[in-house]
Parts: sequence; structure tokens; C-alpha cells
Amino acid sequence: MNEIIGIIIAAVLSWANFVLIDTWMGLPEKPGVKGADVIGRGVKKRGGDLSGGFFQGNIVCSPDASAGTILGAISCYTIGIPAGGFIAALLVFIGNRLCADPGYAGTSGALSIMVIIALASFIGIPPEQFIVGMLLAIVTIQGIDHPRASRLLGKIAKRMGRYTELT
Amino acid sequence: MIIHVNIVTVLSYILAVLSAIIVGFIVKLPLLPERPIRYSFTISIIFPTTVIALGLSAMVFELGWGGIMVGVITGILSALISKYLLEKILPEPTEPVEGES
Amino acid sequence: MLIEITGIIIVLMALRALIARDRSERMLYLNALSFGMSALIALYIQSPFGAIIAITSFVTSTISSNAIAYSMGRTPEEILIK
Repeated sequence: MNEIIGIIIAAVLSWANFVLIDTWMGLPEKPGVKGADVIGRGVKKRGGDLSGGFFQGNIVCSPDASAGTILGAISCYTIGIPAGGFIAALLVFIGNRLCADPGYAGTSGALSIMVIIALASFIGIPPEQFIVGMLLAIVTIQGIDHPRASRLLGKIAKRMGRYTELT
Repeated sequence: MIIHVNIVTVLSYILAVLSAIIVGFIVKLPLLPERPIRYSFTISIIFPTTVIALGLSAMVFELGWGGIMVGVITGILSALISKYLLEKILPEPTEPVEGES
Repeated sequence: MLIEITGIIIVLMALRALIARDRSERMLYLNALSFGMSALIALYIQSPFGAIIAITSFVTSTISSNAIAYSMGRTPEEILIK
């Protein structure tokens, strides 16, 4: 498969993987640590959505499914499947506990991206394209337009019943 | 092919998880964390123990020691680690995490 | 080509972090940058130890960002020394 198309497909799959798992695990609901609160309110002040801002702040302050996805892709590329996915899940879990987070989002992100990469290898998308794809996916959330990205995340949070009750 | 599996490795992973679960029951770890699950720090059989079992087995298999016996021993070790050692090396955060004035 | 794409993203995120005005906005760009650094390490050192280094680098940068974001909330404004 053409490399550019592979990277785009991998980016879409990684985006879906980490946004859905993180929203389900409650990242938009409340800031996990005080730093995420600061970042969330900063995004709201610039015209964004508070729930989406908490999501973005939680990504910065603790390894979550986005970290699990990229580290899972890195481990599957360098170590192989399934050992890479399991090692990534364990190390992301340790990192989560060091950052005062229970660890559910990171480990599930790593394990689910391992399954997705294993299936995608049958249609010709190798794991290294998932590494770059995940990087592009995280840049769309954290690196282009924070208020607009937070509004999109807020809409997804509302749809999945995880919108924040704080103001 | 990047997927490195043969029947012995798959069996060893499954046995590692099973022995971790069995030893977890023996040392009386709770089965599920308390609700709402996504915010709970409880160490249970489903959550860190399985992840630790799979991760440690993957590390051990990649370092070269393979086989069913190694998988079972790693599973037993991970259940014991998650019961006795995990609280000490990765303690639950105690300070308040939001709402500071 | 993958390393080139990663390198371009890292440089773009660093430039955006430099010209950003709000301190908490900078944290988000730097977070995207640390994802890129992790990816670069793994794509260059294509071995299992490269994965260990990439994971360690990412987790430690997250711990640092956590501490920085926490202290940002505790100091209200910039203190100018006249």
C-alpha cells in the first residue's frame, strides 16, 4: 500500500482509538491533577470548551490512551506483537501510577492499538506508519487550534455521557 | 510477518495469566475494583495483576527464557508482586488533586 | 520518509511554542513535541532498547509537564522585578 495512504489510515485509526478510549475513561469529566485544571481553564479562556480543555490538560499531565497508543505502536514496531503491546501496557501502567492516575486509559490504549496494528498488518500497513499516524493525530488535538479541538472533544464527550459538571 | 506467535508462546501467556488469577484468588485480592471503575485505585485481579502478568511474561520471553514453566512462575510472581509489593513502590496518591484555593 | 515527517512536526511544534503568548498554551505544544521526540527516538534506534529509551523519555517528560502545570496554577501572574 502507498505509504501516504497508509499513514493517513493509521492516523484515523489511532485518533479514534485514543479519543474514544480516553472519553470513555472519563478524561473530559474532571481534571485528574491540578495542572490539567490550569490548562483546561486556559483553553476555555481562549474560547474553547471546558470539557475538551480538561481532556487536553489530562493528556499533558498524565499518560493516557494517547500515550498508550504511541508507545504501543513504538513497542510493536521494535519488539513485535504481542510482546511489544504487553510490555508497552506494563510500562505505561507504571508511568500512570507515577503521575497519580489509576492507569486504565493507558493500558487499554496500548492493548487495543496492538490488536489494531496486528489486523492492519494484513492489509499492508506496517507499525512504523502507526507511529507517525499517531503523531499526526495528537498534533490535530494538541498542536493546531486548541479552542476548536476542545469544542470537538466536548461534543464527543456530551455524546458519550462524559461531559464535565464543573464550571 | 511481525506477529511472532507459536503455540508454545500463546500457551505460556495464557498460563501466566491463569496462574496469576489463581494465585490472586489464593492471596485474597479482590476480583474487580470498586465502582466507578475508571477512577478506582484498588489493586484487583482484573486490573493490575493481569497487566503485570502479561508484561513480565513478555519481558521474560523476549530475554530468552521461554516455555510453559517460566510462564507459570512469572504469573505466580506477578500475583505476589501486585499483592505485596505494588502498594509500596507505587503508592496511591494521597494529596487532594483539585480544588485548591 | 517517516523520520523526515517526524522532524518537520517537531520543528513546527517548537516554533509554535516559541511564539505562543499564554503559558498554558505552551504546555500543549510542548506535549505534542514530546510525542514527536519519542517517535523520533524509536524510528532512529530501531531496536527494543530504542523502545525502552522512547518510553522512558516520554514518561519522564510527562512527569515534568505535570509538575510544571501544577506550579503554573500556583503563581498567579508573572512577577516583574523593577
